[in-house]
Amino acid sequence: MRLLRPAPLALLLLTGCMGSSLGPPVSKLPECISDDQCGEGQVCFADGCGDPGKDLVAEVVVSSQNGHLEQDLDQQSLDVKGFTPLYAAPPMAFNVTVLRPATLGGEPVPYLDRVTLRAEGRSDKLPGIQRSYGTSATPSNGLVKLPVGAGVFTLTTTPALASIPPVALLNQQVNPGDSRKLTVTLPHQDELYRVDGQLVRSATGPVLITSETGMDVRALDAQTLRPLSQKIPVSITTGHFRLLVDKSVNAQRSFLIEATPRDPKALIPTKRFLVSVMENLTAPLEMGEYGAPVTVTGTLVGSDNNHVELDGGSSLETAPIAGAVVYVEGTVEGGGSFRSQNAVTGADGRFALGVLPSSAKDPLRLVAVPPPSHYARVLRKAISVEPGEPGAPVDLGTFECLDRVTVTGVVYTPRGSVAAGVKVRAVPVSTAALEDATTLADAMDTVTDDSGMFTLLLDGATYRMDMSSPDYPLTSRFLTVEVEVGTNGYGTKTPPPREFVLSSGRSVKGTVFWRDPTRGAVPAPYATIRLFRVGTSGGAPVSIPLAEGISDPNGNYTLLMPTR
Amino acid sequence: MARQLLIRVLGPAWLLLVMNACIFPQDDTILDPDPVALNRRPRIVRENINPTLDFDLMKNGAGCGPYKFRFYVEDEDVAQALQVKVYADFNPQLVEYDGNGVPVRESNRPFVQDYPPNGKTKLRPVATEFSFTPSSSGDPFNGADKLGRHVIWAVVGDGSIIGGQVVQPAGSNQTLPDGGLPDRNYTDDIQWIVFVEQGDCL
Repeated sequence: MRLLRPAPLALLLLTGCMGSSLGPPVSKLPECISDDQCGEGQVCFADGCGDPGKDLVAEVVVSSQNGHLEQDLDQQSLDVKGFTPLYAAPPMAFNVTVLRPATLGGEPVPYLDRVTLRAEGRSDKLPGIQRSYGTSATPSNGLVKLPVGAGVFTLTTTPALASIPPVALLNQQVNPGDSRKLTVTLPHQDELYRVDGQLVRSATGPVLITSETGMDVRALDAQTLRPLSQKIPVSITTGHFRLLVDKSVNAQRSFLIEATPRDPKALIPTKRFLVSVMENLTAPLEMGEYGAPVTVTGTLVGSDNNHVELDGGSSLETAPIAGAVVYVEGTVEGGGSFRSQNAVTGADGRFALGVLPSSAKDPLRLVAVPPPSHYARVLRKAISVEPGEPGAPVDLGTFECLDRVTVTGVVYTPRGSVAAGVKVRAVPVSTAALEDATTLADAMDTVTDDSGMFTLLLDGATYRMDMSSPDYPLTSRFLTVEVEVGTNGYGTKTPPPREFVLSSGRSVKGTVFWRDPTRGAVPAPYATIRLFRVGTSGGAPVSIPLAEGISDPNGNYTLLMPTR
Repeated sequence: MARQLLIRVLGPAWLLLVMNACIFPQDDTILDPDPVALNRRPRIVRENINPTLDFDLMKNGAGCGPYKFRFYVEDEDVAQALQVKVYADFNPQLVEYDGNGVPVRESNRPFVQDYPPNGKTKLRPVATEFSFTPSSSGDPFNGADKLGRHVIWAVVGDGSIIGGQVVQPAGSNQTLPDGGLPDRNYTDDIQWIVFVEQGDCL
């Protein structure tokens, strides 16, 4: 379907898309483009010129199959001529003894019911590298083992019995080779802070929440949003609930009670209530009159002719966008937050969604995400949804998306000739201060053609452009893509092509060993190695990947590293 | 004297013995060609899959993700190109099949990693790496209707992958005249069963 429409009208309709355009399409330059711009012996990295043999950290995984997980080895230097052995430590783990209070008092006894352990944290040597591990098991004489990598973690123990709050141990450091022994004593019910309350739609009456599957409530830390209780069901017939909250809440003035529909597809909002520790819940918690569900429909279109710069007054052509994900979110009447299910547009760009009416104060927001590699970019537009008649869909009209930014570049070899067949991957690393601040797109891949050129359709964000080929080491550059609406009102202006120069490579070989307490250094077959440079970008520490590899059945590895 | 006699008698006999292959008729006048090296199966390196296959939880709140997945593949046939496809909740209804039940196209949207012929070692030196961020719009696990159980299915083949199956060489569905099977392409696969839960990772 093609729509012909006068440009001024289209521009008027596009104000929702265009209102947040951001200045000229400037791609911020890295400190260097090629090694030639760096001093003697230095290489141009994503964070600027640096010594290729320093600030290196190797992440080694000896065997995930055997629970011998990530550990970070500082590498002061990697030998070019000889072999560089990498010595990993023994496997790391949290060995958690879970205890519960004895029924008749006295010493705690082993907890024998099922528990879930979660370790969520980050590497302490590689900035930006998150690590998380989990297991769900029935303790053996109270003991549960969770293999982990090195880093700093919050370890959360959640018992199967929902009335017992999860127990979190913060800032648990795990160094290579550590086998941490921890004891978690689950609280006795008498030690917990008890909250008796009632959740209603309206206190007048009171009016209960109509839901087939019911509502759940849980307590959260008001500052960190850390769970202070597990989810507890609310009585469907009376709206009453009893929460047993971690005793740490006594040290605070207030905490949150979060009410959510048990069925995430239910057209009921989620609402958080700030509750004072000092007061008991004398009044019911009101969800508010969030209205009756409304079915809304619409059509998503974009330009069908990318990057055409038109003179003012010319007509524009649009085409439906198929396969886009569309949803509606925002605050509804009563103060709760709502997010609809996802709908996928059909071949005609049409979608239909079940939503709640918008509040009198705040509009809702429609979000449309075109398929990856589609020329159209994410649309976020405020919409107003009036209460409708049951069973009568409300048509919201046509939503028109701008184009993504077409980023082109040319990749050169260190000798200055064009590099064909180089894989180029744009990894989004930050959308801070950009329009789509909550959208961190997937990495986008392409390959350079015979003239060394590549083209990628990208959203506004800062990307790490990783260029790799079998013959050259991994070369990375940061690139910030900003969005400006083109003169035709649809397309975005295309920044000039960027130039990227690969570094020369050197092979670093060696063997991965791990130190077995009984056998000494043992070769590690199929160990994975990722080598990072730890630098800074924009004042913040970053981990820049330099090389990766896997050892052979004898533990031997080869990495291709940049050099001068 | 006796020695010369012995050589005269035994010499021809020895010659006859060692040359019998030339003298006695053979059933086959032409030797069979060397057998064709059969294709070998690619393998996902089980020893180091990250996260481990028992990884099961992804949260969809603030600060959660990206949840990264990595593994390596190997193939004894170093000159062969490999392809990896990773499906988030593979849907067989999005696959079109020909009259023989062979997939010909699909509208699933898998992550794709192509490996050109390596030519050096059986281990392909670059990992297949992909990620999910359930809190990010556009992620296949984003949205209230995506809470719960999902299957991430990774398939490697020594040919193109369509609908989770490797494309077979022409004629590979016919039995050879001697009753044997023709050379075929192969796959290896793994899967993670994950749960997407509500919650922040602050």
